[in-house]
Amino acid sequence: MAAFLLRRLGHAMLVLLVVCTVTFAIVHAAPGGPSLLADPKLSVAERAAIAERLGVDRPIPEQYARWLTRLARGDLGNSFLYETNTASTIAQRLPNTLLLAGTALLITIVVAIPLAAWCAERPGGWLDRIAGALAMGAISIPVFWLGIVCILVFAVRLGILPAGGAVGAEGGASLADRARHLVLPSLVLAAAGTAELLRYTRASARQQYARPFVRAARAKGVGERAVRWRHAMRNALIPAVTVIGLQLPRLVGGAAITETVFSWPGMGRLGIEAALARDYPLVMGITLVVSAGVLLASLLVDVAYLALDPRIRPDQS
Amino acid sequence: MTPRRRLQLAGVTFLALAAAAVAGPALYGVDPNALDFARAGAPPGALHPLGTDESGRDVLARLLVGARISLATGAAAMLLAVSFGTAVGAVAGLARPRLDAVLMRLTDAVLAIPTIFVVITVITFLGPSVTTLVVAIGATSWMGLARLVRGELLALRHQDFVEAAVALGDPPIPRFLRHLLPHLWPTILVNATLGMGSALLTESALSFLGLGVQPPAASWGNMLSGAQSALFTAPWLAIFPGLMILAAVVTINVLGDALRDTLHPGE
Repeated sequence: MAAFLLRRLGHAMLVLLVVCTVTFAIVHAAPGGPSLLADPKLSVAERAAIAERLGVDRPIPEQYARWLTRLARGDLGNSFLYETNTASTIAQRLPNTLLLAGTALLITIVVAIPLAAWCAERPGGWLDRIAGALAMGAISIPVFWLGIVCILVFAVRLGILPAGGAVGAEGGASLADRARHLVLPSLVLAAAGTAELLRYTRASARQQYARPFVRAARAKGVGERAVRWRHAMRNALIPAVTVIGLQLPRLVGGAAITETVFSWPGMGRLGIEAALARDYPLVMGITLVVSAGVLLASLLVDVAYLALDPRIRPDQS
Repeated sequence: MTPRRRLQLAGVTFLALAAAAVAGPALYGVDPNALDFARAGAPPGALHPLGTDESGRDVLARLLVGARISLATGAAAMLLAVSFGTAVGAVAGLARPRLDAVLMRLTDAVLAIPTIFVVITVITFLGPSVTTLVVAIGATSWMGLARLVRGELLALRHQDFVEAAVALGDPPIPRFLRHLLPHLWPTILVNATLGMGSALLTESALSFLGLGVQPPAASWGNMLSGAQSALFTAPWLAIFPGLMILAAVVTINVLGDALRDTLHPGE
């Protein structure tokens, strides 16, 4: 087990290095420079001075080597835009994104898995049909538009929930106030993932219910609740765990859009602002933090496989 | 409903959407770019069935013209992603293990990157345009199909008919095209359909951020880019383009689902 984890960790580090290289190459290969340099009022000398200060006048391989050596010391460089340390800028915004994405993921799992179990047992039933239609809608709806419509309905028309931000303007940051601000963004962010997880888990649970071990369990008198959770769903959860793992990068991408629509002060919105301003260090820093998080999560997914299915041996993968 | 029924229903709806995109602007006959500031921000009514935007342009006319750009962008991005994904998957599945490992680590890496930030950075460099949009979406949505194609080829490559083709001396590329590709069509077709749906969604999200199709040209996504600020005054500007995207993507996804149920029964 330890050897398996170490090998997977090494594998993840390798992928992370590829991520760094690919992102660095794409970000730096494109023509044009940081938006700071685009100010037409700057003289040639001033522009050269800024380029030298930012280090973007050096050849790209040299910039890459410098960036990597600094990274090895845990230094992500300074943001062009905010003139602050990239790591601390990200650290400031990260908790908000973790709160939003974590709540959305929790909603996804708590809603999708039990609902999938229910629907798989009663295929074609009324709840199965409604859930199926809603899920089809949820995977087909643009996340920003869902956000706009929710703001229109719940904030503008009904006025029962705030339209944006993480805390109210007045009344401070009480727990209830924070929770009220979290409701719409987390539900909007969770919608597509919940629908996808529901569809996959329902399909895989349906297959499990058709398999002989479920009939055998029923035949020997195992209760229906135990048949569901110990036999059918336990096996159906293996593809579900894969789907959850694959959703994480999109959860962050969706978070970026959701955060923009709801003016949520998170890392995703910061990333969009940084990308729009061509703030290389900040874009690279955020990409790196998110990718590392995604790779760590896929490591956890592998561990979850081992826990769910003892037939999967660590040395096989 | 049987998969066959759903396939017919979604197929007809999709054709209707495509027909509206092709013939709609001529049939409706209203100039989508005609400015009319006297009637700017008019709610839906007799003169403008779906209202006008902040410059007095007819929303219905822009929706019909926007359908062309949105659907064409989605289709082009999907074609690019499918070609690239199939090529990467085919090379990985048929090449030596070392090259296979390199390609799959690359695929893993691109899957782990939050592509939206990279895409935005690239678009800000190259300048937003339909071409940039198509390339950006295509270049970041090939990974799933690459993995699927590789997986199927690994299962296929030691079957008798492939071994026979090798023994007969077929060179790799004709062997792939003649003997292996036909087995991959169902997977590719289903993936292409669902991929077009997600390409439409990405196009709309990037256009919403102001990075997609540039005005005055209309796309469903860029019609929504100013919609959030108009929520209080002109909510129909936010409703109709979104409904079009939703309708188109639902149609395409139902089509993809039905195709899968028809082509891969029992899965």
